[in-house]
Amino acid sequence: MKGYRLAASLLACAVLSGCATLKGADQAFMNLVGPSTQSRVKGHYVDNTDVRQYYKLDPQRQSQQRLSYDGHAVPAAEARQQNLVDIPMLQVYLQGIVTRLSKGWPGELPTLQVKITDSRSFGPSADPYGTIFVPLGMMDNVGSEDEIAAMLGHEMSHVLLHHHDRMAAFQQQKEMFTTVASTVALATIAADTGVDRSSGTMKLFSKDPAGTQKTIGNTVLYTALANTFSDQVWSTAWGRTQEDQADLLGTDLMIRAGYAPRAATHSLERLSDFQGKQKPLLTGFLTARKNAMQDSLQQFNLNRFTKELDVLVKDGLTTGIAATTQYFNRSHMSTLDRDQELREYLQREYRQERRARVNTQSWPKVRDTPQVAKAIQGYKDAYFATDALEKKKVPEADAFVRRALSSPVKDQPGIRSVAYTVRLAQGKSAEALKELQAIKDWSLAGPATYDLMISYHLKRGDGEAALAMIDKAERHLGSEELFITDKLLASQQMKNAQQVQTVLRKCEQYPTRKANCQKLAPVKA
Amino acid sequence: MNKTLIVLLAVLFSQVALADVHSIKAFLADPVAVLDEQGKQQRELARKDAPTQPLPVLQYNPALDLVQVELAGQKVWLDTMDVRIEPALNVVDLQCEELIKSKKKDSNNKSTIGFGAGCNQ
Repeated sequence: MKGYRLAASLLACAVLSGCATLKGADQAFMNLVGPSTQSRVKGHYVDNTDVRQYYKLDPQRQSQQRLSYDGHAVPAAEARQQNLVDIPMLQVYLQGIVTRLSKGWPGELPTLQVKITDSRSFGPSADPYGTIFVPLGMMDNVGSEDEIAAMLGHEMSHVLLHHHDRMAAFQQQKEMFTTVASTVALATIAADTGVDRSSGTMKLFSKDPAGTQKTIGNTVLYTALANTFSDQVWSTAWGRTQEDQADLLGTDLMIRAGYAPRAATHSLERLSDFQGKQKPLLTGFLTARKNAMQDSLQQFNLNRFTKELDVLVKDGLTTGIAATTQYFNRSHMSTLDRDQELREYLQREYRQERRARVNTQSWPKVRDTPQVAKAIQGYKDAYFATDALEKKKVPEADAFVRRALSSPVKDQPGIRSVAYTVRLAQGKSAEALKELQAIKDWSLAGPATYDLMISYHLKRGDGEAALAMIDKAERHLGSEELFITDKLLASQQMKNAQQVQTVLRKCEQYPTRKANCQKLAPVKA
Repeated sequence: MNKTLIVLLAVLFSQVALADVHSIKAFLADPVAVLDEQGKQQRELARKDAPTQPLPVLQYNPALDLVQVELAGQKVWLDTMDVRIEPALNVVDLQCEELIKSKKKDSNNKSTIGFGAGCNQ
């Protein structure tokens, strides 16, 4: 028993190293969300003192960002994730809207560049480097140019107001989830571990290996999911103040550019509809996650640990669950709240402008231009192919992908990677590869598409071809970290010891990659 | 058969008939502007005097973004900016993806700030 307590104490020490984070979990969560901004704004938001501080660009900040982006130093998690879409006419049109909106900004302007992605999501997004990503799903669902302007203006505002700086704080909080997961995993191991003294020496054994594994597996999985959700689903709740500010500034900019601000409420309504569709999915997720956490708590035999550990861990976990639930609920409220707050702001500050009508002609004119319409349809067909494949309807997927492959965007990564998947499902590996090789412009490819090609070369033992592809990925995605382990493998395949050591040294700079690299290529003494 | 078709087409291509489908759930502006079919203001209605029960939307004019309702027995038009309509008039034709289990290699674009929450793509 003494031995067991020792083992438990050791585990407790490991767990307690994260206690400070656990204890402050509730405050950490609460700190992230402020009250609604709209009601406190007097006059036009763009003229407010809070906003004026961003009129002048900080050259040092700008150059740091630029250097980072071009210098392969973008962290893997910050690299673009989707394939880009090349529809020149649409690109020019969207960039034109950004330029028009930019004229309403009284300060210095950072570089703002629109890029279209192949996502079937609705909301655009912006990165700290001034890139505004516009998903095709959005273009397929907006009703007017004014609505596009509202959404682009919102994203521009995140960049203009330096909101990404606050994202760093957001990222830190996400680590809390990981700490909770580690705690549960360690505690479960400890609780299910017995001591066998029959052999004369102390031996630890698992009393319920399957149960332990299941709990750990679930906890880690749900934590990973929670982190995934944080970006995409909870972003509104976590950054509510930011969203409010971006709504305000975006609306000011669109009014100054002559757009009808009512379009902002149209897009918020659509966003609400889009989010509403995933509500049952999320509720199921949350229940499952909560159950997993509670199962973990039940399996966690608290009597076997010190009282202090009991209180800290228990509080930490329950606080985490309570706070998560609260934010989950809030996130669902937020879009309609934002809409209402925005309408009140418009009634207060823009009584005339709020009555302006949207121009329903200009966007359909661009959208229905053959070159744009055919390209959008091509991507839609590719999406339908993926959808059919998920439903295991391979012939249907084949029909859709054939249509996508006859569109003007047939050689773009978003189309060819779908064709690759369809061919694989048909058992045609050689043809699948040809689909990837048909990609004409790799600068449009996202990490997943690069990954397909790099993995193919590595599997064949063709380190040289893999390295060439990794080089392309690094250049176009701006991240060395993304494929650093693949780079190590490729260097090993080429039997280039010096290069292996160089890559290994670089890899050691990335905490999440270090362990894998060391496993692949142990450092020579 | 032809008559039915004509009636259906007439409904489709005239102003959108929305009887018993959409309704005004809340009056957000104060006062609310009461308009004619061209959007010209006829009078104002204080929010405290507006109906508290859901008010069925009779017609929607997408070009002017106006809805027709019956107020005190009179058919009038309201600006959608002044009211909350449910179900919303502006929706999306996008389905939510099944959640993909997170793999170690999966990562999101953590550098971006989106317009709002989205589906897990």
